[in-house]
Amino acid sequence: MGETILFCIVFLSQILLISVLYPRRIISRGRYVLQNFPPSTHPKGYPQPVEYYERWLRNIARANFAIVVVGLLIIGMILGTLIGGWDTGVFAASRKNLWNDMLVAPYFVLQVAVSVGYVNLSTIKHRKAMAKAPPPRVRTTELHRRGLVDYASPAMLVVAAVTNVAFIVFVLQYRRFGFPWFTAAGNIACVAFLLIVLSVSVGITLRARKADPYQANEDRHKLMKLVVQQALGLCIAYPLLTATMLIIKSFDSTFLEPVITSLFVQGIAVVMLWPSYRYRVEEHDFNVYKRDARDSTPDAAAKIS
Amino acid sequence: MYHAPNWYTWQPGVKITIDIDDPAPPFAQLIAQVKAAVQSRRLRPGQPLPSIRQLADDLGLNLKTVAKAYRLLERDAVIQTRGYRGSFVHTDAAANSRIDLSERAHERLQETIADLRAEGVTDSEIRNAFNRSMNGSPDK
Repeated sequence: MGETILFCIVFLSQILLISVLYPRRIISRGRYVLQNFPPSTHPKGYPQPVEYYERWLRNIARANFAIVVVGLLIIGMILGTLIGGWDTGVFAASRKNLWNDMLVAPYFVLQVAVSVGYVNLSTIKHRKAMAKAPPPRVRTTELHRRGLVDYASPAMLVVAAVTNVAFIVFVLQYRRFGFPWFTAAGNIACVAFLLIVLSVSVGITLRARKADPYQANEDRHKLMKLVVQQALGLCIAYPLLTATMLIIKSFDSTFLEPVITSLFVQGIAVVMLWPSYRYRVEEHDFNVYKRDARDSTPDAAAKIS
Repeated sequence: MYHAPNWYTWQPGVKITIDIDDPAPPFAQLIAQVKAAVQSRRLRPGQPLPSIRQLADDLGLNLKTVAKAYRLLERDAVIQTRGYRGSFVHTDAAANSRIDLSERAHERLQETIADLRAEGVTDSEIRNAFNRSMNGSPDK
C-alpha cells in the first residue's frame, strides 16, 4: 500500500512538473508578449493575424489540461483499486510492474510530445511566414566565427564526452553480472541515438540561416546558448540517470520500478526544460519589431488591421 | 595580463552593418568595414573570420556578394584563407588595409587622362581608346 501511495505522489509530481508548471510558463510568456508588444505597435513580430497566436496559446492550455485530466484519472484508478478493492486490470496493485511499461513511460512521451513537440511544431506556419518577411534594409551582425565553445565551456564538453564513454564502459561491465545483452545494447543505442539527434540539432542551430530576419543579434545568441545548454545538459544527464536507474534496479526492487522510472523521466524533463523555463523573454529586444517607415512591411500591417 | 575567455557567454565581436539603400554596394561596405576594424585594431592579426556562408546568412546577402568581398580582401592581403580552416586576418593586415587599389587605379587614370588632354586628344577619343583597351584585355 505504501509503495502505491508513494507512486501516486511521484506520478502526481510528474504531471505537475511537465504538464502544469512548464506550459503555464510558456502561456504566461506568450500572453506577456501579446499584451506588452501588441501587433498594433510591433507589427513585424506578427506575420500571422493576432488570432493565430491567441489560438496557439489556447490550444497549448487545452492539450495540457487534457493530459492532466488523463493523469489524474490514472491516479484515481490506482487509488480506487487500492481503497475500493476493484479489479481494474493493469491498475491493480498486484500488477504494478506493468504500470512502469504501460503508464509512466508512455505518459511521459505524451507529455513531452505536447509540451515540447506541439509547442514547437505548431509554430511552423509563423516561422515560415517570418522567414518570408522582407528583410530589413539595414542589417547588422558580428564578424565572429561561431562555434560550440561560444556557448558552452570546454570543461563541460569534456565532462559530456567522459560521461558518455564512462556510461558505455559501465553498461558493458554491468553485463558481466547477468545483465541481458539486449538491454545493454539497447541502452548504448539509446545514448548514441540521443547524441546524434542532439548534435544535429545543435549543428543546425549554429549554422542555419536566421529564421527571424528582424531578430536582434543578442537575442539570437541567447537562443543558441539555450539550445546548446539543453543539449549538453541532456548529454550529461541521460547516461547518468540511466546508470543510476540500472544500479537501483539491480537491488531487486521491482516494486519500486514505476517510482524510479517516474523520477528518471522527471530528471530528464528538468534538464531538458529548465533552460527554456528560466529563459527571460522580458530581456528580448522587441524594438526590432516596431513599425519603421524605412523597413515597413505593408503585408503584415494589412493582415493585422 | 592574461584574461580568461568567458566561455559561457557569447561576447559581441566587431559589428558589421550593411545598408541596402547605401549608394556603395554591399560588398564594398563589407570591405570598408573590415579594413576600418583592422586599422582600429578591433580585428587582430590571425583572428578567425566567419565563413562566407555564415556571414551571408547573418546579413541576408547572396553568397557571391560575401565571396567577392573576401576575394578582394584576400587580394589586398587584409585576410588570408587557409584551406578548410577558413579565413583569418592577415599578419600584415594593418599596413595592407591602408592601400586602396581602386583609389590608386582612379588616380593613375586621372593622370593619364590629363596627359592625353594636354596632347590634344578629345574626350570621346579617350573613351573609345579606354573601351578598346578594356575590351581587348581579358576580364579579371
